[in-house]
This record gives sequence, C-alpha cells and structure tokens, in this order.
Amino acid sequence: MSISEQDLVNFHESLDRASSSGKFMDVFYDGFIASSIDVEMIFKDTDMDRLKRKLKSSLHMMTMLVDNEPGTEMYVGHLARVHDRYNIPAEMFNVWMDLLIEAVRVCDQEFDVRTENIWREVIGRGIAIMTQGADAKVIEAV
Amino acid sequence: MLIEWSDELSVGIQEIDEQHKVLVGLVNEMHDAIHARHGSEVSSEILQRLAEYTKIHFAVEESLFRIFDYPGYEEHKAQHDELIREIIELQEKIAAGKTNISFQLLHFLKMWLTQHILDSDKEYSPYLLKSGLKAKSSQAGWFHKLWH
Repeated sequence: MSISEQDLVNFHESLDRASSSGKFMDVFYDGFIASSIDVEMIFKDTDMDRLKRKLKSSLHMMTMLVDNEPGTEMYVGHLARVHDRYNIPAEMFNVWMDLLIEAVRVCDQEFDVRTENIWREVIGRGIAIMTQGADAKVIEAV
Repeated sequence: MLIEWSDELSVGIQEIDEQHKVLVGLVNEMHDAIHARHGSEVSSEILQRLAEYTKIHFAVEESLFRIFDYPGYEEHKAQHDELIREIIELQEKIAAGKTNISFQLLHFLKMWLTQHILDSDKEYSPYLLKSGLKAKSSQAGWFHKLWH
C-alpha cells in the first residue's frame, strides 16, 4: 500500500482525534508496559512524563519519514543503531506498533479499517528501519 | 541558514547553550558552503571542525553527568558514542572517495542536533541545575575562551 496525500491528512486527523481524547498515551503505555515482563522491567523506573515526550517525538519522526523530509531516513537509521546497543528484540517493536494502533482504536471515535491500514503503513515504515538495528542505512550521501 | 537558534533550543545552562550555538553555527557554515558550491574540500574541513567540536562538547556533557551522578548517563552516552562512530565512518568514506557531503547529510545533522537537544539534552538540564550546577556564570567559561 502506498501512502497518498489524503492518507496522510487522514492519519494526522486520526492522531489529532486520538490525542484530543486526553487518554491516548496512558492507554498506550498501560497496554505496552503490561504486554510482557521484559517491557515492564525496561520501564519500571522510568518517568511517565518522559515516556510520553518520547512517544510524541517518535510519532513526529514517523510522520516526517512518510513525508520524505530530507535526512529523516538517516536519522531513524541512527536511532535504530542506538537502540541496537540495547539488544531490543525485533518483535518488541512490532508489539509496540500493535499496541499503539490499539490505543488509537480506543481513543479515535472515527477509527475504522482504512484508518488502521494507514496507521500500519505510516508506523510500519519507521518500524522497518528500527528493526534493521545495526544494519540500518548509515549516514552518507548517495 | 539551515538552523536558526531560538529559545526553544536553550537547555537553560549558559555554557552548554554557547556550545550548542557553535554546533549550530558549524552546520550552518557547511550548509552555506555547499550552497555556494565551495567544493568538497571546504565542506570536509568544516565537517572535521564539527567532528572535533562535537567530541569536545560531548566530553564536557559527560563530565558533568559523572560529576553530578546523572542517572541517564549511560543512555545519553550511547547516543553520543553512536554519532561519533558514524561521523568517523563517514569521514573515512569521504577521504576514500566513496561518498561526499550532501544535503541529506546536512539535514541529518540538523535533525540530530535539534532533536538531541530537544529530546535528550533538555532532560538532563533540570537535574544538573537541581544538583547545584549554576545556570549562568558572570564570566565566559574556560571552554568558550579556548574555542573562540
């Protein structure tokens, strides 16, 4: 599935609706932290406000990626290599995406199959780079 | 100008802000050199200065983290180490003629610098200030005097 300009508009509108619910990030982190002991251990002493800022930043980065903002792919590749130092299993990124979309489902009143597909496409692009870890594209010119 | 300094980028510690302004200035200098088609030698020389200054700046931040026992030290240092490793690798490729400095790279550097300040550096400043680091010194710091 390719992302059209209308898809991106729909994505941003869905994100706005979910964020406006006032519970989006809490729903996501409640689900994600409860998803496994490993995740719970990683985040057990982490400040929730900090986690929410990180999520906001991650979503911003993912949208820049699908908008083909210059340098973003290199930057997400860099983040992938930083995360690779922590040996985060690839499936944890997929759980992260599934639970993020589940939180959208709960918080976006207009969520439907089309919205889910757009979210999977947008977030999936970033996740695809993150799961490459150390093999993600290095910073260089083409 | 690729990056415009604004209060949004301030971490509230004068010495660190001054160092970040130098980094912003170097990225802007590289941007201008590429725009003006000054050639790869000039861009590489600016990248070299950027790499050197970045290493020194990271060393200063990491010293402060150790002095004040900052709990996010390891995570923050991992970000520093990865960027330094990637820049060294990039410089080696440029020297070997395998790649050159592009607008993609410039935008990566812009993104790295601004996101790192906004996402990571702004996290340590409240801790360091609370732990006793002075936000502002009446005199220019030793690091600023040495570099300028």
